[in-house]
Amino acid sequence: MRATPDDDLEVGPQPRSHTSISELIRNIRALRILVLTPPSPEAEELLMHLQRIGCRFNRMWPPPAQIPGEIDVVFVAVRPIIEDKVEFDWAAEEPPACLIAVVDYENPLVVEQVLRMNAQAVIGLPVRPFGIMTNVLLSVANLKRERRLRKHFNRLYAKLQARNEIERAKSILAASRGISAERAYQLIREQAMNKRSTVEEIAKIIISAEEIFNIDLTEKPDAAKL
Amino acid sequence: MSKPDSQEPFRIGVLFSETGITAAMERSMLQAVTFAVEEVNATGGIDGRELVMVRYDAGSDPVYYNYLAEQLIVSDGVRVLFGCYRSSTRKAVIPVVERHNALLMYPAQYEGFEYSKNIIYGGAVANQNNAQLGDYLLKNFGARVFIVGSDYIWPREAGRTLSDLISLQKGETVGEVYMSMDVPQESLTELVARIRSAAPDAIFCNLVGPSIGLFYRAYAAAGLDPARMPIASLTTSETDIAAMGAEFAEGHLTSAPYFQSVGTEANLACLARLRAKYGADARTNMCWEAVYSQVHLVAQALRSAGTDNVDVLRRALIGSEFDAPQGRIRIDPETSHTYLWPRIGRADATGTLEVIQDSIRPVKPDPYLTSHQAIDWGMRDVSGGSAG
Repeated sequence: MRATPDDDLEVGPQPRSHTSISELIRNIRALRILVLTPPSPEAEELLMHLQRIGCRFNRMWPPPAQIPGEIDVVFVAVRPIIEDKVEFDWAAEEPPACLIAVVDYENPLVVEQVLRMNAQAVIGLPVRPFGIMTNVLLSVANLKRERRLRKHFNRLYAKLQARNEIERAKSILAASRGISAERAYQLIREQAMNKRSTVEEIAKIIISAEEIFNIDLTEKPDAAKL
Repeated sequence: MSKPDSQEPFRIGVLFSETGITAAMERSMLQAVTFAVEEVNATGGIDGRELVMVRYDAGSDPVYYNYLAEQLIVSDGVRVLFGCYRSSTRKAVIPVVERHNALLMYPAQYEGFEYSKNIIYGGAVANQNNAQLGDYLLKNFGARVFIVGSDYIWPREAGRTLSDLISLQKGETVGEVYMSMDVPQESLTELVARIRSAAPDAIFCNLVGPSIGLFYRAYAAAGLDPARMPIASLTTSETDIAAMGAEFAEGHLTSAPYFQSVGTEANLACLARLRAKYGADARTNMCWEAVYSQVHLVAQALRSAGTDNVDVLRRALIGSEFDAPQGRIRIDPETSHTYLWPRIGRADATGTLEVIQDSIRPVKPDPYLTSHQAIDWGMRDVSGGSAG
């Protein structure tokens, strides 16, 4: 277990465990799938194979303005979005579900669209049943991993931000009081304890105070003393 | 393609191994095609048109299966093939039948997770043999299982499924060992010693080919007791038992939709005809029966379609039914697999697999089932009543 929050900086995100992978495979029939394709024999093939796999699914066209919250995986036909200017507003950076692009062309225009949507998996037309199950699971695993990495990144970023602020507050305090950085940190910590606040919060207050009174950090503390 | 009024025969491709490591089982499957084709022809053929086999020996080698499937379709002009036993041989034929839009009738039990519009699957998938066997072992022997098998995808997936099944019911896999198909006797003797010290409640065995007999013999030589720690298999058939010697199989279990001892009228009549032709020793098994039934299903479909054009024939096949020796079977339109009648058999002193449990209804194939929770499969105990 983690002893101090700082350990977060050393420990990477946990790799997927063997059990979580077999859980994912075992629970494939609990997935809710939305198929966004115009009606066609190809779409029928896809739906029939989802039926064989045993997933719960719906088909819609055109795509809804908002993806319903309970949906885990979205299949979307890419060409109509390009050619027929069908609205498909997909938040690629914070997607509401996994996205599997259904493509029939592989030209740069289509590939660009797939990349822009940040699809977690791709299937080609004509639909071949082989590979659909793997792609569904791959997309779920990929988005999970993406979300986990993003969360980890955000936590690290916040940590880093806080650490920079503490460093800055330490130098402000050290400069204005003519004390060592270690002593400055001690003072900040004492204040945090007294005010029942955190080191990060006190550091923020010092920084904003500095900004308000515009203390010149370039001023040498030793020079001020003299 | 051929006009319905043409009197030309319908040619079917037959691709089994008369030589090589799985020849014993595949020769039996070849006999089943031959026997069923003769039956079809003896009763008027396909509306007067003869059914003719074009056959090659695939030598138990996936490379030959691939090459000969191409030859059957391209050079011999065959549209429908019967063949393959191991998954590796089926996988070798799939690209060929898909490329040429031909049809493979695949009769063996296998690991599932497959669908091709160019294949009709006639053997059991996990929810038609493995799930029932797992339940039976848990209920009658205990929750600690040692898994052994040949080292390829089908025994491994069967092992994974059983392991998953028992772990969901608080069971435990105490060992899992996969060995090459030409494993020497010494290694199997060592394996039995290892199993003995692990002391499981049952051994789940999907060895394939000659290693089956070697393993059962090693078990007997170690003096282990099938009444307390049986070998339970999805593979070991009457044919394997005859090859190893009935005394080594006695008391051990097999789960399959068909055994020679099944007491249906269709089976009794079929066996009588078979014995009249091949003598009193003639023997059937789960794959024999699947091949036999698939030939009759195709014959029916050819009669109603009037052509072996694959798209037309396929439409006639899916959803069609046949009074098979195991009971009435039906090709599931959704999966192209077959509704089958799960059974648990126990080998007796004569090498007969006696039915000790059977299903009250045919079970719909579920080839994409990834999680085997406790489900009531409709199995019931059977006492006596087996045919000879």
